[in-house]
Amino acid sequence: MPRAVVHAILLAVIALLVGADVRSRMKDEGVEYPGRPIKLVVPFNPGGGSDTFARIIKAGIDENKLLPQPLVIINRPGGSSTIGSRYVRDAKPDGYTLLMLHDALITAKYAGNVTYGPEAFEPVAGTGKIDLVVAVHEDSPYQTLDDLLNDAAQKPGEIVYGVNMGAPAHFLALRLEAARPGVKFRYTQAGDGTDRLQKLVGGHIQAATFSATEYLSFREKGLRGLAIFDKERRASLPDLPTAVEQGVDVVEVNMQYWWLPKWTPQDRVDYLADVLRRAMETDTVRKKLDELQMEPRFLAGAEHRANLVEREQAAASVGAQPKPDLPDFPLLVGGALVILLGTIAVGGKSDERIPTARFSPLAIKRVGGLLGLSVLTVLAMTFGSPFAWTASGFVFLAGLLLSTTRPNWLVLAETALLIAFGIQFLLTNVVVTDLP
Amino acid sequence: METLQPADIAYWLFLISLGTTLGITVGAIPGLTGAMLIALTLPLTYSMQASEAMMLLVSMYVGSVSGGLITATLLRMPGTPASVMTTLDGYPLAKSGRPGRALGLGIMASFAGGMISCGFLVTLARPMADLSTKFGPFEFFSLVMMALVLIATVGGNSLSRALFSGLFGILCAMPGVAEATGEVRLTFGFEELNGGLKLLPVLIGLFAVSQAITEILHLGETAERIEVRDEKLFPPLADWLQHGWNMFRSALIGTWIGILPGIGANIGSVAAYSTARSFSKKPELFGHGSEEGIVASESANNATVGGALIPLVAMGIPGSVIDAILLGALVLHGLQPGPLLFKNSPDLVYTIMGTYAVANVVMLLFLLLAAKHLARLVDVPRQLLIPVVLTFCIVGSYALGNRFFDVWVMLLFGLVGFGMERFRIPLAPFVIGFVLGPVAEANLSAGLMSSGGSWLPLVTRPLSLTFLLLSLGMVAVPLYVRRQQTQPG
Repeated sequence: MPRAVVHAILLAVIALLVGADVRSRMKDEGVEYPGRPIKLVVPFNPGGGSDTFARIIKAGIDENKLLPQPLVIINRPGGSSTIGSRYVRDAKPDGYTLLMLHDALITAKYAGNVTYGPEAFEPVAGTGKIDLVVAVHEDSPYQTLDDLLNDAAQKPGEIVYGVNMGAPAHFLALRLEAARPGVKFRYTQAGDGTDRLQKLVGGHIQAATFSATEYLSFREKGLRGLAIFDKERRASLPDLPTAVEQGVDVVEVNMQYWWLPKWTPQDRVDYLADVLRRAMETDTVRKKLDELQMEPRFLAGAEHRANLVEREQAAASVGAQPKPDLPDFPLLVGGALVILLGTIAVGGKSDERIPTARFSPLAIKRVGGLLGLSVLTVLAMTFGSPFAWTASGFVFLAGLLLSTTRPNWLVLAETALLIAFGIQFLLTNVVVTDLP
Repeated sequence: METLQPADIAYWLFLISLGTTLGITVGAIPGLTGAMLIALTLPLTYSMQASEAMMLLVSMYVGSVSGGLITATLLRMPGTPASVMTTLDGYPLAKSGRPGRALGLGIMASFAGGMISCGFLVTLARPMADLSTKFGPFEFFSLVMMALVLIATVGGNSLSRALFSGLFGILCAMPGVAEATGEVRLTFGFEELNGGLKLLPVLIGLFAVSQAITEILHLGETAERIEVRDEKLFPPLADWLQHGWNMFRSALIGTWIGILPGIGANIGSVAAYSTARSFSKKPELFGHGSEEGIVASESANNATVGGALIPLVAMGIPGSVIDAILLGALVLHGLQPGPLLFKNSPDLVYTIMGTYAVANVVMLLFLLLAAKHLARLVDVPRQLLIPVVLTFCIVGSYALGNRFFDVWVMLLFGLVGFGMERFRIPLAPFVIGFVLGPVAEANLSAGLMSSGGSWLPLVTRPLSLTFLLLSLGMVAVPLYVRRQQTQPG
């Protein structure tokens, strides 16, 4: 193919891409909420109860087209759900970052893990109902809740109980301790439901709290439930007695709550609350919750806020717990690093010396120039300079900077525009992500 | 189970072909590596299904390890570190007027090595996953320690530098919310650091940006290229038989070295190459165009890919730098890597295995067709390539979390990576430490909490003790050997 034809084709493609950009910019103005995908942060690993629930709601919303934009689930596990909740707390209050988190948001505050609680968010709604189950491995000697508590009273601090420190699972066990004087468990961090299951099956913990949904799906893998903590038995688990039946006066029922960052405009809060309400009413959600034997309870507005206050009082009654006594890991690693650095410095003489290759001043200037250019580009984008134009400017200037011979202006400009607008097109139309 | 739609299968084949060809292309361009390609592609897979993202990424992995053989053979420049050993024999053979034969043998061995290690992947992953469900927190901690020590001792020349790199990686993973207690630490007042440093910006910086800086410093250096005329590339059946045992042995070595955490394709290829030389009837030919050398190197470096995937799917422990990125990809797509991956998402595990096999076939076909032309990729002007790569770096680090903070992290670690290379501190231990450090800490914390603060179970539990003794041995033996060497007599 002659060179001119190649250039013509390239220029045509570039014109198309730039045109698409200009058009979408004009369209973007005055777009109604929600104008882009909404991120739903689930602060737990996939496969657990929370994740399953979030995906059911997402299916309900997607299949019934309740949102004009996709709802994207992002799992941000860790730190007893505080990594995810902190992420949403610090997100822009624009209604595009949503958090789904049950009572852990309340218990984390009262366990002293974090300094914030529900007051740092806009409560959107409460959905579903989470029953809690205390379970042991099927080979365990404990047949009833009583067996477990009696043994824990006889050997205080010896029975290893897997919890997520400061999460509802932990608070349930703390309430058990409060209900039966003398009972004392040894708590260990056992992450989420899948993690606890693995540790129970492996014999690394003796008992653990699960949500009823988790218990139902893990039951065949070797769990034995001891008690459920609602006022009455569940239809799906008719053989599992309640704690109250067994003479332990603890009732604890959780819900999945939906939160937006504080100061999100009220109309967006209401909009999402309405989407969730309608999602809970869809056949898709009803059927799936039925399979899980989950009550499709829904709370929003004043009723929801009153319930949250009540839940906070229950958590406050158990109070803060002492931190687990762990070594200062950063200090240990930092210390080892310093020692190694010393070894390298001392042993350096016998070691191969650092390469003494010298670079021409021109090469070093090029590196400096390019890094400066990168920093300027990122700064420009931070202050809202449009992505594609900034990026093509960057590629063009960097190309000039790096040219060893007389630069070919046309090729350089074509590459710059093609790459920058190509990336923009790819990311906004083919795979949907945000750009600077 | 849903029925398979022809459209789906076509789409999957498209993804795998795309991934493999891109991987080969990048592997064939010196200065671009598979780790770079995969790290930069990961943000693009954000909106894909997890299984489809893995198809794309795993096939890129396969392609990038294979593509290096072209430049190694025709230009005496290893396109990727994995093909260093191929250079030794591939180039002399090509120079002596048989470039087609040199390429053909390399391609054949790559394919065979990949398929053999695929067999091991399919058979070994499941038992290993089952075994590791027995592991408690202390066992996992000791296993991770072993992995960290292993990469430090085998990977580099200087033990202290490699250990330094690994520990530095662990330290860099520490800022943010501590997994076990939920407390925030080492953020120095940056709210953005609460979530910790993200794997991807750090990796993109370490590998892509620092490489770009190095490339700029070497601008203007060119290489001589051997042209391949119309020679037939596909080796006849006799060759397959003649080199069969060598290919199998090298693939076995490659797989085994791939399984060991943290050591990548280059070590596997070196080990298989020296083994082949010591078993060879004509050891004097090695380094002067030995066919056996090419076969051993290429079979082994492709086999490490399959080997390294075994601990990744079985235990969630990465066997190489690229596996560390794949691990990040799994997490990004909402899957929990670890012993339960087999139970919770069997489809995904089989997708990875299937992709690996198919990608090897695509690699064979594509290389047979295009190897002759791929050598021209070296002529891509650097002054165009480097800015484009940097643009991708910026976009890639931003797109993951939509934060400019990550872009600054990426640029900073570009300088860190360049500095480390300058001072001969290997990068691979850093990555493994960065990925495995938090795993080690979480498990040690959980263990200490369940033992009431006692460290004893580390040595009283047999498996944990075994791992610790093995790691101790791996540090002690090289030190002892070195001492013997420096003290004559």
